Amino acid sequence: MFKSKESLRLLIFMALVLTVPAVVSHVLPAKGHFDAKPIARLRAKKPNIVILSDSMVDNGVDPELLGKLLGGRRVELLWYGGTASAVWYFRLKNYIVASDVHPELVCILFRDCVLTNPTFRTGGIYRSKLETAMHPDEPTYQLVLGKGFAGEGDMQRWLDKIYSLDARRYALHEKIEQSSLRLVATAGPAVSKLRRWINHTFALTNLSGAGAEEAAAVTKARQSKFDPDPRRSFLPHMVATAAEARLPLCFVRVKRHPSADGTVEQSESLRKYISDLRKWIEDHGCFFADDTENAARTPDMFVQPVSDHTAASARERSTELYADKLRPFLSP
Amino acid sequence: MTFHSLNYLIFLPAVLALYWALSRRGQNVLLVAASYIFYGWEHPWFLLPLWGSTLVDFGCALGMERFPLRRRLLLVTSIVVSVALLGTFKYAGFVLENVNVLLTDFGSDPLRVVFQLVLPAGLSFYTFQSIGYVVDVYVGRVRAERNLLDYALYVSFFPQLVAGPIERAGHMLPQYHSNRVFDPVGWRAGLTLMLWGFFKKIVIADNAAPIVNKVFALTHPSFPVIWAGVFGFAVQIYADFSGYTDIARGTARLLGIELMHNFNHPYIATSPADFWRRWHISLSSWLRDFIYIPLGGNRGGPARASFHLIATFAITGLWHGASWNYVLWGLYWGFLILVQRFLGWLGVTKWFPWIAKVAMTFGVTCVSWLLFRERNLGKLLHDFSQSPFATATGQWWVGAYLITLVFIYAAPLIIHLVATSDFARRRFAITWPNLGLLGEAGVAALLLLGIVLARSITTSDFIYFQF
Repeated sequence: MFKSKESLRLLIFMALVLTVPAVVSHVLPAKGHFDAKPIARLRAKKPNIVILSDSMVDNGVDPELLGKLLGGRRVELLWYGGTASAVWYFRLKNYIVASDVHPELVCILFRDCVLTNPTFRTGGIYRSKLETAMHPDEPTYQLVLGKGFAGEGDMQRWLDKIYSLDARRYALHEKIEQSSLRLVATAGPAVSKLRRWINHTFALTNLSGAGAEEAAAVTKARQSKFDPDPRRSFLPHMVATAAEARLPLCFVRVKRHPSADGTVEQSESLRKYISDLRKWIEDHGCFFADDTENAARTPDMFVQPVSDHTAASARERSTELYADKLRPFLSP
Repeated sequence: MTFHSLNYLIFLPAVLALYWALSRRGQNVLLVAASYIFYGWEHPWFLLPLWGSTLVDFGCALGMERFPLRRRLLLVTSIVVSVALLGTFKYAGFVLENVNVLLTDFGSDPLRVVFQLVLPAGLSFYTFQSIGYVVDVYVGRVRAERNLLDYALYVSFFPQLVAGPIERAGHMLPQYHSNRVFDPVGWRAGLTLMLWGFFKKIVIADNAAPIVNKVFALTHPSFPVIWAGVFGFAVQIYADFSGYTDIARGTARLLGIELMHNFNHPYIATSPADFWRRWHISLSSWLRDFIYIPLGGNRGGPARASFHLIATFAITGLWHGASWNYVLWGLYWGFLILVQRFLGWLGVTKWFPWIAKVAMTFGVTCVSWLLFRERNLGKLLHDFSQSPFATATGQWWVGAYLITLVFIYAAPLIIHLVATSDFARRRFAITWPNLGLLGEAGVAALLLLGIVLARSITTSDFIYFQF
């Protein structure tokens, strides 16, 4: 049945096909490069207040105005759209603490249950943002997310060991997107302008159903209990890192898009979750502020029709309201 | 079970190891058992209609030879059962929905019947394959299969059960009747074909999918953005469906069985008719042989031939799904081929150079993909009504960016097209066997590396599973 020479050639073929990608997998770095630029920026600016967040601060906070309203302090926004607790933890540890600038206050603006939803915005298109804030060896990452990313099954884990490039593909997709932007930019607008047009075109408010999906993801843990287990949340690691570096840490829950009367609907379980979160944060020596029931933040200040984002026209007013929230945590 | 699941990585080697240790009869038993495990993996009840169809068509075909006077009755019985299966699972909800719309329009109360059945994957494929067999027996093209096991294998052969190719009894049954020889050279080609199929699916199609999905999720897409999305879908559906076929053909080759070609570079077609000679070849040839020609084909004058053509394409549309957009899609293709015939009759088509014909055919194909992808008729109208002259400059650049992004992912398709073209064969003598062991291994390793490195972050089922 077997023609020996051809069978041998088949074995060689299979060995080459299976081993060459495995060898290349181990030669190439398994993760996107750490982006050290924010450290240099922090050292240059020496801010008094650093705010970590996602796109909630895009139009929500004007750093210069906020600094002025808070007694002439320097404010640095370390925000990036589409980030969440995992990225905030690594930015706190690897940028703010590593820069040694010791701000007067580090503030994290978050929505509902995001602080204890560790996998939220860590995969897919968000992965590269996480990787650029991480060093190659991060024990906390392994503790909280390691298992999830290596896959649940033995087969998946085994394959990930042989072909260890799984994480690399996030960086590759990012590079392909960058190349497309640059290619188009060679014939037309600047990359930054093109990116703005793309973001505008695919804004959540222009996508049918996407707004609802986003809202559901943010409140994924709405029905669950507050869980500060360090194996399942980055929150305890943020608090511990800040405490070790003697950084005052403040968590501000932002107001989500309210109904026409200006109130935000909250289930009993969500209220209980927030109450437990607040207690845990304050018991661990950090500050907590909740903007959800702030009547001064009116529906017209939000991007219409259903976004949690602040409208561009409300930037100044929104900054004033955040200044009111943060003032009590700062020395006069 | 799907090809791109980890389960398949265990399932296939296990089947292959057993398969090549068995005799021909044992191999067929194993393949039938493996096919049922593969098909019923997630939804075991999917096996019930499959078994029903197998038994009825096997019996009817056998009956045709035993009772020649009842041939027509048995043919009709077999076809009615197959169509009833399709009708129940695929079209009943659609018919009911439209009846209710009509009743409401005429002021009557809608029927209070809820009819939503899960469509068993591959139902349209294996019912068409079974109908083809029964008709072939009826007209005497093949003899009725005496062995139920071999017939069950013909209907359920796992590599092609869920999304084709829709095979013919005359091609498959003789292969199941003869001894298969382990062919190491065929294995190399089969493995490479499988890797190429996986690459097309999870690197090209699945990376194009999120771009396309985002464009089609836009409430008011502009002209350049919607057409960039349509271009992305053209790449996605081709890579997805032809990727499935390549995995199926590659898998079959490892089992010593040859499946038919289903695609032949459809986007270099020079006319709508040429497109259908290159796209989903097994379906288009099935429709030609079992619908168009029995209806009358080109006979009866231009008016009747046109009617036959339009009717065949309307059925093509309906075969794809129980939705009006698929009917429109089918009618559109029928209309295009009529226009092509008319232009050919006028002698106009001779004037165009090859590249212009390819570009025009690709353009009309993209229009068809918009009809295919957008199921909401209101949104479809909106998309078609977008004017290129009322578009902000920025939107043109966004469209250019989307096309560039899809193009980068689709680049291997172009390399493959060039490498397998007649030109490459003539000029560089690049044909698969000529690459040599190292060349073949290099290509296959590169494909596997590409899959590891560039596979999509999110993956989805093969598009044609839903049909």
